[in-house]
Amino acid sequence: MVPGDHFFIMTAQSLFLRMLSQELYPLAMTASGRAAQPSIPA
Amino acid sequence: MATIANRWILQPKPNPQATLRLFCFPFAGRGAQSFRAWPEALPSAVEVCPVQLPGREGRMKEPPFPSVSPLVDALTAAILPALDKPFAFFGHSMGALIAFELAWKLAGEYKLTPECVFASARVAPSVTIPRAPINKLPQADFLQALRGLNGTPKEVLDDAALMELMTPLLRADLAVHEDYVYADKAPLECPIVAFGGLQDSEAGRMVSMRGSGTPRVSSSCAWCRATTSSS
Repeated sequence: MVPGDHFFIMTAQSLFLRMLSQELYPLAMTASGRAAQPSIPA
Repeated sequence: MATIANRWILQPKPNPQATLRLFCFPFAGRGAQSFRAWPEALPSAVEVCPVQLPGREGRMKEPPFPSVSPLVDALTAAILPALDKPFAFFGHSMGALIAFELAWKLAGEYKLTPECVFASARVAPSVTIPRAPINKLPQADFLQALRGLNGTPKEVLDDAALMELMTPLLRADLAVHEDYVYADKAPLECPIVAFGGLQDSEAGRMVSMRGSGTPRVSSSCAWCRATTSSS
């Protein structure tokens, strides 16, 4: 593995997942205050 | 407890309390197992749903799709029942392209929009991959080119029987990734967050580039033009 190469995000997961968690947390909190999206068309 | 899982959508740790579903799309040659550690590592309000594409792991006997359009058509039908709560997409490399195309189809045809599309290690769909395609090379050249991409373990590349098994999948996945032709599209209304390594020549030196806002580090803002969101 080369640090920063094409597969780095998928191989150095713990570092990346901390970064992704910071992006996901506010999304999940915002989503919790909203109703589910409208029903899916058949 | 109702399940949303099917042969496309996995649900390794069902979480009915989650407020957000994160659908994860793998890179070329890989499957849903790439995301096996993610449910424990991400916030508990997020339910991780890896997407299993044909041709790998538990779907090894099914032929892989060699282009993105029919793949997204089939995936759309499979994922629709799972979009009954807010959702986001994550894709790495080929997976980022699939995530973008699926988001665009869902928005256009079903008025369903992800909370966010996370794209890692891929240039924006409107940008040509900055290397020559390898998916149609003769086998010896193909294997040599795979070594150069550095994404397949040496032990796998050196195992002739395993490579005979893996080659059709790798060629098909790389065709999805390399032969993609962008057709002008209306921008997505959701934010796009793009990640890339500084040493990744294929992804254009991006580092955590967000929507149409100010890139933190980037040599390209093509992903910014794929969204109208400024968040």
